[in-house]
Amino acid sequence: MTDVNWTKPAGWMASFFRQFFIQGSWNFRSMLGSGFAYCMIPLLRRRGLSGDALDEAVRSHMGTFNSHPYLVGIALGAVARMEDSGTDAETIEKFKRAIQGSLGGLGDLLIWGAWLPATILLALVLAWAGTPPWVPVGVFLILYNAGHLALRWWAYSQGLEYGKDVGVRIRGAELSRLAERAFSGGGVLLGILAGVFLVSHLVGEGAVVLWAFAGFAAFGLGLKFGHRALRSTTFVLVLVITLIMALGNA
Amino acid sequence: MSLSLALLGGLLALDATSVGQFMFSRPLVAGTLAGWLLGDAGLGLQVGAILELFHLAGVPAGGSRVPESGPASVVAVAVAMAAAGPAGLALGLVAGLAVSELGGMTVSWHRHMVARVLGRTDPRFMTAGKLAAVHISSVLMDFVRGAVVTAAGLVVGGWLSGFLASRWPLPYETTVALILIGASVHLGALLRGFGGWKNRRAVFLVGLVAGIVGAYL
Amino acid sequence: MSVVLYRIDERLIHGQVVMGWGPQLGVDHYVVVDDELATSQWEQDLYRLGLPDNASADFLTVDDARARLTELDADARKTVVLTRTIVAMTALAEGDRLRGREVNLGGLHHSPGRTERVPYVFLGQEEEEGLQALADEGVEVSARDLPGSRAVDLETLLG
Repeated sequence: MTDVNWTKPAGWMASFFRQFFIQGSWNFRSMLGSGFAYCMIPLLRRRGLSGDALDEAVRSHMGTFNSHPYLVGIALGAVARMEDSGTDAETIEKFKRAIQGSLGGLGDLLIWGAWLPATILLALVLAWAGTPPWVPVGVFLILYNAGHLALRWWAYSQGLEYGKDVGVRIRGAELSRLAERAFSGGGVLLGILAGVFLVSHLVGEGAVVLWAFAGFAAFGLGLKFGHRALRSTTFVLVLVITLIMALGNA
Repeated sequence: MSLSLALLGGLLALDATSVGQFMFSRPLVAGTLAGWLLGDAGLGLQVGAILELFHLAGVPAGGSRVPESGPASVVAVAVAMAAAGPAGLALGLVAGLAVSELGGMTVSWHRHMVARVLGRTDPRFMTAGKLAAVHISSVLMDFVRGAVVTAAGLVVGGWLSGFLASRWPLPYETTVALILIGASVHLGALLRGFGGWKNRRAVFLVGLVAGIVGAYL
Repeated sequence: MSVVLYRIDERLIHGQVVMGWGPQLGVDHYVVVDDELATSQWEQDLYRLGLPDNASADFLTVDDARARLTELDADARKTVVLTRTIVAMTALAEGDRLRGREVNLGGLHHSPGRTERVPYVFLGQEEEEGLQALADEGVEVSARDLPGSRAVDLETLLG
């Protein structure tokens, strides 16, 4: 598959640019299906397709598909490569079906689960350290997006380079290990933030023990029940604030 | 001013899903931007950071259920500024959480609507041109949706805070402590997401000690 | 430990499963039951790409899986059993193998003839009959995409 003379197909840059819009028509029918086909259009056009032939090619890419937006380049690149080397439509269909879950899972783990919260936590620590507003915001945007853009570029390059073989050529485990590192870093930052909250806000004059105890209890609740605890406790907090307001002096 | 806030809300709504995902839509960033537009970036950061604590642990696994954090942050900051002081923090947070939840429902509607539009075209007659038209109008609709959610939140939030702000009896310190106790549940859930107590105990405790020492100094 | 979740999901191993259910249930093994995938190494490689570091996956034919269900239940690992179709899950359940257990409907997506029941479950007549047949095997069927969301029972799905 990896013949030395192969060069990137015409239109690959335009397709990369369109990946920033790939979720533009995310829907409950085909999820990213329509967006995937939308990103394929520049590649198909530059292959010389037009009119009915172009429409038919677009239709073939519109099937239900989902992925993490940053990693979708692996699939798009690989499909571009496969079409370029004449792989049959059925194999391409199977490829898309098999890789979508992995791209979604890895992206959820690495980005939404690890990189995003870790970089946000860093910004929150900076915010509570009293830096001027542009510092936490700037540090977060630059750091987070350096990783974001590098991942998009890497994903698309890998897809283009390895095509159908991308499953054996890239190591999902390596991405998991990156996530593991972000988890550890995030864990330290989470601890720092909890410590700052404890000292600066929960331990003051007055009912010290009570506030600190409530903070520990709340943290333990979240630790034990995870996501299942979030909606109900947020609801309780809103209720408490509303009640205080109702009972407050007008 | 309300118009520029609504437009900002529309742009931030786009960033969350439709365009880019550069995370301008995170409360921390969105709140600071809204605060800067309103002339107080510091308050924007403060409200954004508090609202961020309540969005941090909610991983959108597999693209399901995205809370609408961008428009929510804009509304939260505007309400916090109008109500001012501890009442502003409490009301701003409630407004932000409410808009986030209700806005998330409009995200769902939008996704159903696009599904219906795509479903109306017989797959045999789909063309490159039609696909591009659906795709681009979906992005535009998402922008309008975000702007309308923001505007509605500003109107309702402004009206409510007008007569609720003076009813808030708690001082600043107690208000922040109350909010942070609610946020602690999310921090706990986040540690669980990072691998749980068993796996992250050590790093967490190192951080905790550092945070306590740092805060005392 | 045992099989901790039976799930029908066209995407098989993906984010909701490994990020949503995995940590919640402490899963370290996935068994995908699919005749076609059991013999296709390159497709298996693509599915395995999404596994976390500490988890493994086997791809079995329906017949193999039927023979190994008891063994999986006695295994020290916490396993999630995944099928792409209702038919495959029903084949697993036949002969009281899954009587009294829960089967989770996690993702059946749009295709011609299917209509939306919840945003992640689209059913046609064939699927409705299939789910009824599965329930007739003594299985408790409900739809739920993530552990934190509300379960939707079979009656509501078919109603």
